[in-house]
Amino acid sequence: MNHPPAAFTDSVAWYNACQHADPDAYSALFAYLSRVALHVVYDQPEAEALAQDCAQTALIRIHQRLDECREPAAFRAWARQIASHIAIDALRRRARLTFAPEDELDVVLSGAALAQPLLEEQTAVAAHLQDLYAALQSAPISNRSRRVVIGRYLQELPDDGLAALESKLTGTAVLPSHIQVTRAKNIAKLRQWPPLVALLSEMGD
Amino acid sequence: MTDETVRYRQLKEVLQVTSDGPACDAVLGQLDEYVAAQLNGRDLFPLFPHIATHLDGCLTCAAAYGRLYRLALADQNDTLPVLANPPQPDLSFLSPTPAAASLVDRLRTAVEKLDNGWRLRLSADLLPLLHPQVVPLRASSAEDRYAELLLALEPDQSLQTDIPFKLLVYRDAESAADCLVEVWVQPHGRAWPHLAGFTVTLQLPSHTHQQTTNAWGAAAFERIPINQLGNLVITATE
Repeated sequence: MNHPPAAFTDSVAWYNACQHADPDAYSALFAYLSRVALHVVYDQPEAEALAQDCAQTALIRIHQRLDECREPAAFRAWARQIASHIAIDALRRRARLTFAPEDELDVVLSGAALAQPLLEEQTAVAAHLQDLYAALQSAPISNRSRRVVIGRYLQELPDDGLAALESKLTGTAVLPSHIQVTRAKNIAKLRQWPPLVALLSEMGD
Repeated sequence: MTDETVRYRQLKEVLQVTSDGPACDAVLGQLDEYVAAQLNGRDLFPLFPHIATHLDGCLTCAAAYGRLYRLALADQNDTLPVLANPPQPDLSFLSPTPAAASLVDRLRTAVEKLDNGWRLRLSADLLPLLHPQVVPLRASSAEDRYAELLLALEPDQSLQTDIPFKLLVYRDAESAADCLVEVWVQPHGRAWPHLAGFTVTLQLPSHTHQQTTNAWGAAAFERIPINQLGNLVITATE
């Protein structure tokens, strides 16, 4: 095809055209899936070629499983999910599923800290939580890292709320995904920190 | 159980328990729903406590989540990247080819239902029909060794046959005359983790190999001579 594929903005129309094996619909779908896959693998070597491989694989899978799309109105999102998971699988199975540069947030750290958790009763569990809080306060991680761990587990704050807090503290747009990635990375570090390992061991089951 | 007890156990779990493959597969399968709920402003921790906890304890899944979250956001905001050199897709799959029809016919005679399983007999004239339509992405950490897919037979190939297993054959880069044969037993209505324990037998003129499937229904056989694939008989029994 020398001309660009027709735009399919309506999911139902797009789905119906694919059901009728319309080449224009599939060409448009390939263009969309290539962009989806490229967004997932953009930081990889030969990213465009990899994205196109993923898109072609996704295109065939979608063709084969079109009947499994129960909601034609959600066809676009369904197709995106198939392509994105093929791209994620490609990275995972090549041991290249790492944090994307976009997920790294280099901001000036604020000194603000979350308040100590309010524990209702002085039970053994409450005492353990207090000990963990104290250990996290002295752990060798940044203030922001401390906040995202304590915020989740001791203050029960959702990531949207923590992202809003960090955005306010740093003056930089912080996404909930940044919060999640930061917490996962720091929990991985904390697992190796001997004082915390010892404390958890003392606590037993 | 009090809230404090729940929080304590969850925190202790993420600080102590590392994730494994099957748990990751389950979480990755639900990440779209998780991200969609998050973009809709839902509080995720009560809705998906296992996923939320797993993401805190698993760097790989957290990385996948980060990419999928930003993808969903970019798609929502219509800011997906544009390819510098957009190619045309291969749409040959839209038209059933004589080869595809031929493959269906040949598979009908090659697959045999047994009392307690199934048997597939490969033949020299069937092999060319199993060459992959697209070059797939190798699904293994040993990708360098088994990068080249030689044959692929998947139940979802729109073959209109009831084949209860998937077959993937990769060339062994360390021994170019040999290959890795992967058999994935996938009977209708069964899924992980209830696919363990099938006995898969590979009969070759020179040898017979046998393995038991894991929870994913997979059995892998290394060092299979490529020149014997045309006489390979695969049996999967329960």
